Formats: sequence, C-alpha cells, structure tokens
Amino acid sequence: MIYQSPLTVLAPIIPDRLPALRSILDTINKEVEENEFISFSKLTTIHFCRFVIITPLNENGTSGPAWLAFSTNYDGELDQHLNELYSKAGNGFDQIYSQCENYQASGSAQFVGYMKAHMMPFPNAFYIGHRGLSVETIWKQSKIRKAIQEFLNDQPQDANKPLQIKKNIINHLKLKHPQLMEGEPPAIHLKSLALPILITLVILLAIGFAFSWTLLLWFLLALLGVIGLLYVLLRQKENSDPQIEIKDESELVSNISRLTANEDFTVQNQLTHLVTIKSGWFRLFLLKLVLWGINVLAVREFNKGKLGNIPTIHFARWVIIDKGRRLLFFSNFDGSWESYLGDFVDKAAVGLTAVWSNTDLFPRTKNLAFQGATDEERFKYWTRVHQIPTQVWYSAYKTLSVVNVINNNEIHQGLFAEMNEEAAIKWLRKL
Amino acid sequence: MKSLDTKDIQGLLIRGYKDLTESDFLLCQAPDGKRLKLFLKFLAPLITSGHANPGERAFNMAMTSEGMELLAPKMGKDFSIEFREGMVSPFRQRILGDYNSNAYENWDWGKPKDPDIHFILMMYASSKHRLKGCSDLVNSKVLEFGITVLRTLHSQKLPNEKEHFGFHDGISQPTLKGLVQKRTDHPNNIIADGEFIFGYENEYDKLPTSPTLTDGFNLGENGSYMVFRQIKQDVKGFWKYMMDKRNSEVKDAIQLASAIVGRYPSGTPLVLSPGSDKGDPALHSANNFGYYEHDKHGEKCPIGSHIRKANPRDGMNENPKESSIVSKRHRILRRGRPYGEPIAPSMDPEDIIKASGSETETGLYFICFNTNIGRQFEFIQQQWMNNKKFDHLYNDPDPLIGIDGKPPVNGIQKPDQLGEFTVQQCPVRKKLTDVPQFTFVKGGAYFFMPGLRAINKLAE
Repeated sequence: MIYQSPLTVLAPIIPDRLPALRSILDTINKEVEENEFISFSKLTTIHFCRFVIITPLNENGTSGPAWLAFSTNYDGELDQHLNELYSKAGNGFDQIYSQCENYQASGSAQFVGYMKAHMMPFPNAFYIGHRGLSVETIWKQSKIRKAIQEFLNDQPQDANKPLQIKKNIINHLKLKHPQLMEGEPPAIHLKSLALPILITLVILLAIGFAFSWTLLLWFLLALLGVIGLLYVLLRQKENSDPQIEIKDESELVSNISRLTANEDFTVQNQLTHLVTIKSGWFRLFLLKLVLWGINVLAVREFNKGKLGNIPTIHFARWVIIDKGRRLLFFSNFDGSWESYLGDFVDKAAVGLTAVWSNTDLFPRTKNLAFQGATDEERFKYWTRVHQIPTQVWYSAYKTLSVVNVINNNEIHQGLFAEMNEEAAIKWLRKL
Repeated sequence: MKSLDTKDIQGLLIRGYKDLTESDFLLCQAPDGKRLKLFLKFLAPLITSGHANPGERAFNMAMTSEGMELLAPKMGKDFSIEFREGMVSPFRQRILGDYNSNAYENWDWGKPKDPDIHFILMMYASSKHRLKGCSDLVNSKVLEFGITVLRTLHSQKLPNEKEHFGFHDGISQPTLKGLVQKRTDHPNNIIADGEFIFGYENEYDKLPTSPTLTDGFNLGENGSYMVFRQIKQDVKGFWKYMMDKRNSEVKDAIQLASAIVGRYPSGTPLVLSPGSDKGDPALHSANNFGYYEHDKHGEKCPIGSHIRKANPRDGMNENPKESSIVSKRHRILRRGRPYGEPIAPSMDPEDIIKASGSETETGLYFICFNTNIGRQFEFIQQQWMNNKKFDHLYNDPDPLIGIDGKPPVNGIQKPDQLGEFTVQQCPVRKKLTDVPQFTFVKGGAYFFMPGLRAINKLAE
C-alpha cells in the first residue's frame, strides 16, 4: 500500500529579499502547472502543494523572521520526493530558497539537506481524505471511470441484466483500454481503534494482576483527580477568556477580498489559517492533547473519506510553530469557503472547537468542545480574521472531489471483484 | 420566542400577494440624500405591512447599498459585505455563475457602468387598471422630488401559478416558525424566522448580525435582504431540446423535462408519482416529502434535478438527519414573478410545444429574501445549483438554470460548455451529455428591505 505523507518546511526569509520572493511566487501561481520556476504538472509525487509567506511573530516588542512555508502531500519516501523536486525543478527551488537564510544553491544534496534541516516534525494532526491512493492511481482510476462512461453513453445497456452489463464493461475495457486493466487495484489496509483500546485495557489489567488492584484503583482515581483539576481550571478560563467581536473594519474587508480573489476557480479550494495560541502551559498542553487525539482518530477512525462527517477534505494538517506560540492550519477541500465553514459548524463543530478554543479570541466555548464554532457568524468571522493568503497553490487533480476519488476507487475495485446480482446492482449505481 | 411583529414587517415578506396579479418594479435613482428622504417620507404611509391582507393593491420598497450610502453614510454596525459589494464583482461572478452568456457586462441593467440604482419600488395590484392607479399616485411625487425611474419592470402572473416553461412554480416555500399557528407543516420545512427577518433567532439559535445606525437604532429589525435577478427563459429552446432528445414524441419530451425539473408540469413531485403523473390534484402542491426513504439513489427523481438541487431536504450523503439540518440552514423565501407574454395562453406544455412562439422576451424576475446572502442565496446558487459535484455527482450543474462553464481567469472568458445530466436508473444510469443553457441572467442587484419603523427613521 502506498503511503501519503505531509512535508512542512519552514525557512527564514532574508528580510530584504521578501519582495523578490513574492514576485517569484506570484509568477509561479499565475500559471502553476507550467512556469519558468516550478512546472508542477511535471512532478509526479505531489497531491497538493503550497508556498505561504508567514509574517513574523511579534512578541514583547521584538519580532522574529518572516517564514517561507512550503508544504506538500506526497507519495512514497521523503528522499525520493525531495530528489524529484530538485531533479525536475532544481533551478526554481534554488531561486526561491536563495531568498532564504543560509541557502547555497549547489546541487541536489545541498537542497535535500536544507529542506531536511528546516523540516517540521510530523504535524500535530494530519488528515487524509483518500488513504492509500497515489496520484498515479487517482488518475488511472479517473480514466477507468471515464472510459466506462463513454462506453455507456455510446452503447446504452439498459436492456441488459446487471451482471451482463458488468461483463460488457469489462470486455470493452479489455478490448479498447487494455492498459487500464493492467495490474490489480490498490490494496488498502485501514487501521482501526480496536488495537489501541485493546492495548490500553491489557496494560491496565496487567497492572492489576502484576501489582495490585488497589494500585490500579489509586492510579485511576489519581487520573480522574487530575482531569477534574484541569476541568475546573478550564471552566474558569472559558468564562474569562475574551472572544472576538464582529466589527466591520475596512482592513478586514480588504483582507477578505485579497483572499476571495483566489477562490472558486475550480471545484477545489484551500485554506491557510494562522492563529496565536492562548498563552500559558495550560492551553498549549490541551491543544497538543486534542490534536494528538484527532491524529489518532484520523488514522484509525476517520480514514474512510470523512473527517467527523465532513466528506470534502482531501488533506488537512495542524502544525504548532514558533515554539508553541502559533497554530498553523493547511487544508485542501472541495466546494466553497462558505460551504466548508458551514460543514465545520454543521458536522464537526465539537472537534474543531476542541482544537481552536485554545487559540486567541475564539468564540466562547463550554467544556472545551461545545458552543464555540456553533456561534456560526462569529466563528466564520474569526476564521476570516486569521486566514492568510496562500502565495502558491497546486492541486494534481483539481477536477476531482474526494467523493469522486473514493467512488472511482470503488469502481476500480469492483471491476476485479466477483459479484452476485445484488452486488452488481450496487456497483452499477456508482457509475 | 419573540413573535413576529407583522405590523412593522413589509407585506411581501409575509405573503406573496397571490391575487395581485399585476406588478411594476421601479428601479429608481434620487438626485441626493435630502430628496430621497423626502420621497421616503411620502412613501412611508403607503407601504403595505404584513399585518393584514392588502386588498386590491400593495406597495413595498427596498434600498440598494448605494441608496443607503445617501441616507446613512456612516453606520454603527454596517451591512454585510455581500450587500455592500453588490451582486456584481469578479468574485461574486464566480459564485453566481454570472459569466459567459450570463456575463454581467451584457446585462440590461445592474451592470457596473449603468447609473446607480438607489431603491426599488414594488407595486402590486389586482388589475392593470388598478396598477395604473398606483403609478399615477407615485408619478407626481417622483417628478416633484426629481427621482429618476431608470427602468420599469412589468410583470403579469401566468395562469395556474405557472412559469414560462409551463411548470407549476413557487410550491416549495419555507414556513416561518412565527407563522406556524396559521399554517401547519412538516418540521423539516418550518424554518426559524431569523433566517429571513432580522431581529429574530436563526437556525443556529442566534440573532443574525443586523445593521445599526450610529445612534444604536437597529435598522435591520423586521427587515431582510432581497435578491432580485432578471432571468430570461428560452422557452422555444427548452422544448426543442426535449423534443429532439425524444424523437418529437410530445409525451416523452414532457417526461424528460419533468425529470429535469423534478416535478411534472402540474406540480406533482416525481418522487411521489414515479414514472408518470398520476393526475392526483392533491399532489399538485405537494411539498411534504423527503428523498431518503423512498428515493435515496435518485431512481424516481434524479439527484441532479432542479428541485432536488435547490432544496435537497433529507437526501444528501445518505444521512437524512444531518441532511435535513443542513438543508434548513440554506433556505430562501421566494417571491418571484414572471414577465413577458405567455407563449400559449393555457400554459399547458403540449400547447407551448405546438405554439409558434412569441416575439417578446419571456422570463422570471427571481426575488428572494434572506438575512445572510452568503450562506443562503449565494450558497444555494454556488454549492447546489452550479456545483457539478453536488452530493456524489461528477459533472452535473443544475440542468434548468445552472451554468457549466469555467469562470474567467485573468478576465478572459471561456466559451460556454454543455452540461451533463445523469438520470439514475436500475440497472444502470442514463445520461444527457449536451444540455445547453435554457436561462440567461439579464440583470440583478442586492437590496435591503427595511421594516416600517426603519423607513420612517431613515426619512427623518
């Protein structure tokens, strides 16, 4: 099974090179598939990619560097991915990173070393909408569906029985598109929550048997006590933390129009969101805990195309940056911003509130995960206030929704599966 | 729950003036704020409230952002960004699908270089004669205060609540929670007042952000945002396409058109009468139905049909409960009116198909109300109507009013594209791959329809 991984590189920008860097990134974004710097259409390992200029963190009157964030969702091994970037667009990457501190444009090894040196650890939480499907597979499966569609359009099959129709489709593909029928469909193994739950239980029981049940009881009571304390602390803070007020500042309006200028050109959109984490160890601790939980759930529970109940996210990641001071969020999704944020509120308010309630000015919450995002207008306003422009954004399959990608895979899998009539009817519904 | 203050709410928000079949919509411009206020002072006592049935005539009015600029250049809390930006902008163009043959550059009115519209005066009457009376009443004051009527849009209702393609229109309307005592309905169709009228709780149990004046006066209270779009309907083209696709078999052509609409010409929903119209009059205005239980795969009423896209009810993502909640948060109150001479007086599709066609333009003045243009009207337009990926579809814009184009990049328009329409069926789907556009946007603007107290306040 192919693994998709997140790469996040943060490099400090040389202060007086910011304009030059912006101009390079703008040029790339204008014709992102083909341009003089990085022709993304030639890169085969990337699902989604973005460059974002992150403004410095201002704290106690001093400000840090501006960062260039580079992020990809890539297939396979990191070294292979980085080498592909440099072998196909080395010149472009050299020119970009020459605007950053300490970069020497002197070949592939230097580039790979620099990227690794500035690479962030694995995101605090990382979500994949279509697990186990490489870019290559996604395109192949899209072609398979298309070929079937053309066949059905040209030679209507409604007089035939379901199993016969499936047979005709397979015969047609084998005859006219043999290359699409080569190889098996991808085997995808999804993890589940059963194992970690089992392990936890076993450990607890082992403590009980090996030492004493009283010890286990004390341990659990102590844990409960800690949670209780944290809870009291949280409720106090929740009642006193300031929340954002909806105002109509002209600055915000022009910010929003800068963002919307790049939205809704295709069925997919992206979001880059950067917000300061509430100060103190308590919120940072909670945030890390929640993100850890979300990451576990993303791998083991929300691994079939829906995060919470949101069916439109290709990839999303949360990364804590600036030594625990800011939370960065990247997302690639289907549909409009309004619909994405609406889904947040309607389908995943609890999880997202649990994350962002630990950041500045989030709408008032209750018990960490409740209210907050359900204050719809305030939540959307808060999101826009902290959303930042993405200088370069690339998608390898911008005409496909997550639902399409997953459906295409099911079509592909079904082609190679034995079916009775009932199963065939179900499969034909996917067409 | 606060009860609806129908005495302060303009009548059009409460009722559709079914019996007032004639109407004129005057797009007006005032020479300055002072004279606009004087005109409002004259108009205020004429405005029909929602309190009682209006009888033989009704007056309503709504302001544009430019008009509000004249009356209240500074606001305490401003209007929403959507209203202030207006319907016409490069971003909004992508949301609404106002490019290619809908491009606002070619509109009859409302395009950027046209003179600013400050307000719209909406006059409804039970006969042509009475409507003339309304005009006479207004005209002298229009002259006196130097108001320019930029355009008069005339509408005349068609028989049997039909629109120009020959279908029973305007059936699916939300029932306002505040009016439930008078009208019973399915819980999924009873919508919080605040979705349509400021000053009341919305579907999130919150008060929608309402514009206020600098002195704290709640200007939004009992008001609403009104979306107005002039949509030309190519009736001949519509029926020609259906006939071409069905070997000129009238019955089959009507069946295909019904699949595209999701209701038969009578108004009967396909999902309640699959295969053919049973002709049961009780179903003509049927609106109390869902999709999940009886038609989750779209084999009775296609997933991409017009009424399913406009209001998906419980049918999205195989999750009826969640789908119902989501649908309730994207509803609009529709008050549209047709324009142009009917192609066949009976408005029966069989007659429309036979008729030679009229020379005058036919279409719809699409009018709807909501308190959050972005989450309601624009969302429906973008995420449901024009969205090819709606639910689990791949390439199906709304077959009746959607646009399957690629939005202009760097200002460069791309040619129109034909749309796909998938008809789900057992054992396997059928598909139309060449659905042309049947409707064309010819003008439009966003308005704010204030409550009566707010009009009086603005006239001060």
